[in-house]
Amino acid sequence: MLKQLNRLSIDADGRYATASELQFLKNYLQTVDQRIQTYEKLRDSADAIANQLDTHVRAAEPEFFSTASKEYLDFCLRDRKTAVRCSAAAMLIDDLDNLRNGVLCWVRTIVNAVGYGKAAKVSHKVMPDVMGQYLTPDEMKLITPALALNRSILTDD
Amino acid sequence: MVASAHLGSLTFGDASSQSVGNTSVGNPMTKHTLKRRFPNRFNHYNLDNFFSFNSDDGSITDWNEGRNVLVTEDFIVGLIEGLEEEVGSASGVVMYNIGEEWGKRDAKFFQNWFEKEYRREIRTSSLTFALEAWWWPFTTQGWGNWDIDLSEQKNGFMFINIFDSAVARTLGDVGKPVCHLYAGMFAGFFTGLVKKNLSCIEIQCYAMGETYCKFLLGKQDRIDAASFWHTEGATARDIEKRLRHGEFVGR
Repeated sequence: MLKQLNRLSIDADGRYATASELQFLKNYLQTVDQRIQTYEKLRDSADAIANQLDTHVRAAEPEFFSTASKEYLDFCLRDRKTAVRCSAAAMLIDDLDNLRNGVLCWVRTIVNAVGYGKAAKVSHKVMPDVMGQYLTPDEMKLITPALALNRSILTDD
Repeated sequence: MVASAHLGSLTFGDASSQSVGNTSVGNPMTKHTLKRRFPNRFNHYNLDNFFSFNSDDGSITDWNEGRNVLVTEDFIVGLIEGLEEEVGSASGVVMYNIGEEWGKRDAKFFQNWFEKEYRREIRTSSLTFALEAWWWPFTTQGWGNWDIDLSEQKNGFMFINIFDSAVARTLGDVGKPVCHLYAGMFAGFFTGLVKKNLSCIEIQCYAMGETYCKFLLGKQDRIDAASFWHTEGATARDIEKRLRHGEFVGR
């Protein structure tokens, strides 16, 4: 969305934008109420979602988590909440570029560096199912692109 | 300025322009606009977040408060060719030494900002995490992505891959390793970090027609052995295999 707006401001410099160039704005505005509603639901459910993800990941990687320090586990939980928040923010403004370039490319190196790859894979695999318990199917459609991007960058899937 | 950075330029962050001891994460006086508002933000490595373009005085400040200068590929070509014209074949050594001094200084600079940003000492952190933290500013500045292989660390050497080296990418296929600045910087940085003398050699370079650059970092005897093999025509894979099999010239 922001990238498209930026591009429009450059492309339409010195003239009026065409109807097709404005279409993305109409599309966005048609969904904006639902985006805000979805965002607010995710905001209110973020802790519960992160805890549910935590349960799934621990069940899938019990050895990994049994040897991890409390500090490490706290970081994991914090990062899971961050993942939910950043995905929600990307959905709200319909801007995956910032999610990719501003967050995920960096997080990917950290995930690999601290050996969290397998756990991340589980977490991002079950995240749509977990979020689906809190969102309607139409709301899930809005957040799905962000979740798919998370999964494709942070896991080998 | 932003556009020029996208067009293949890179920036030189000047850590030396400030006292290391005075660098302050969360400093309310920082010139970095975003950092002033969100001092505890960790994911600040995209172009718009990492750099603060200060139009008042025409300066570019990065997140770690180093002053940056955008340069073009012409600048890099001029730097390398100008140096070759001045000192001939010794230019590689000169670039290595420049990189080494820069790396040693950067080890102190890094230690300072890392400990303030993450509120912990490097030695109590995961080494791989700390190293990723070190290289990210360079990635954003245009020095290329990296990949580090620490699996042979206990045997006294490690490998670093650089994808999209600014120097090699600029010079193109010249048939020999050209990233002496990087090699020197790795040697200097890791020497400063682990407080042991380490050297580095580039054993594979994009400027030799390879897809990425590969550096060997380690104790002097390993580097001497690799340098000898490399001169004799060994490929990076040969050198890697020999070292992993424990074959090197002992002192």
